[in-house]
Amino acid sequence: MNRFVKIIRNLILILFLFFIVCIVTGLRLTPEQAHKMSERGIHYGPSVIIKSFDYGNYQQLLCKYDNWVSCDTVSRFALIFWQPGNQPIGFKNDSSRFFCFSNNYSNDSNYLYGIINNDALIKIEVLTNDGQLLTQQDFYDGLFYFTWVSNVRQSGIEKITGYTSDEMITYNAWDAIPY
Amino acid sequence: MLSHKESKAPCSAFDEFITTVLSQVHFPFDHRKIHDELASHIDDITDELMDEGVSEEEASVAAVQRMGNAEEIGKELNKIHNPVLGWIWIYSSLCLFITAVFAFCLLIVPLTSPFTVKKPINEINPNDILYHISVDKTCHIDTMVLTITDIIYDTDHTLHIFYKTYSSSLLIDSWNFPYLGTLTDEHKTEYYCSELSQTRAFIKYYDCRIRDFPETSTLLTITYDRFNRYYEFNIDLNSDTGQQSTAYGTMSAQRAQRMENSNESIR
Repeated sequence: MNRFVKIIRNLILILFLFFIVCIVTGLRLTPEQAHKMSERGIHYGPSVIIKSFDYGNYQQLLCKYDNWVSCDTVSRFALIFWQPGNQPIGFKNDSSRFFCFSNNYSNDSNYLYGIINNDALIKIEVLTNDGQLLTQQDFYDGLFYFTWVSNVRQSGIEKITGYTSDEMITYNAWDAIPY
Repeated sequence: MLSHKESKAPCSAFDEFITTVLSQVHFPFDHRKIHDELASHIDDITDELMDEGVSEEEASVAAVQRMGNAEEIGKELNKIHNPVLGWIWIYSSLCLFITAVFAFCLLIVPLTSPFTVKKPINEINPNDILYHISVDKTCHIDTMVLTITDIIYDTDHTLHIFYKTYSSSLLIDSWNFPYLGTLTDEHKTEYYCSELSQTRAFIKYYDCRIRDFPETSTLLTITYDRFNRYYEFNIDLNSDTGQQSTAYGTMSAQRAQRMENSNESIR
């Protein structure tokens, strides 16, 4: 067996073992694969990824599935792998409300996401517990997403307000829908 | 016979020849092999010359001279022992070794678990069993296969529901399945279970324990309805085999349609 053939043999064996390792450990090569695996693992979805937010060592994926809205976190592992993070399950949308939202904490950041049920809403504003005011006007297919870092480790929200051209609708922290 | 491999003459013709040849070969891991091959070659020529009556010392020198230009030979050998291929081979072998060790460490636990881990049902003392029903009913959720295997009622008034799950996909993407569903009896009283699981070679075995379950109950209904996945098992606790029916047989047409739709969307 000449050296070139030995190299080909080595590469084939490495790929095969690499595949085995990925299967057994649940590691995947892309964030989308890790997200899909985490959803299937708990028998949810498959959701449609509306928007992904890349923070280097982790990504948050804003997704829709039937009546549910989710914000899944997937984390980078050993530079080339991605593994499921937390919260692939979303909350069930209550279409009787102007907008629905949920908030959580992951990877040292607070985040809030939700869905707009009334097309008249043009802006969403979040006032956090530590006094930060966050605003979003461009929505992602009817979804909104905020993330913030607080000097308090885990900071919730004081209130969240949706604005139409002539009125405002305010919800409090306890109106968040648990997932 | 003079062995050049063990030659102790540092400035001999052979050493000079071999040093020149090897200086042209840029893949150091092949130097030993080339050295041995050339030495063997020169030994053969030396032996031939000695057979013809030439003295050992003269034969050695002549043999080296017969080999030809050391630099040219070295350049030719460098083409054969390509350093680029050589280093790729070394690194790929190293990677293969590391990956093989890693894979072995990961696989050794699941592959040996059938010999080291007991199924939860084997933890039950046969003397504590009041009744035992063999169910053996299967349903699929995504790629996970769920089988309810046995129902055991023990002297502590605990109903044990034994079930197992495994992934039908090559990609193992089913995690633990601790929530079996809503558990009710014939009076629609809801029960909660604490679950114990063991994994044996990629199959997970569970014991879902309902404490203080009425001994006289005749029916156990297990209903799962989450995220557009549905199943239902009705298990007759008076029968030796459960005589169970599943959601596929008992649900409404509207629900069957929903399930069919969800299965299609999952696919």
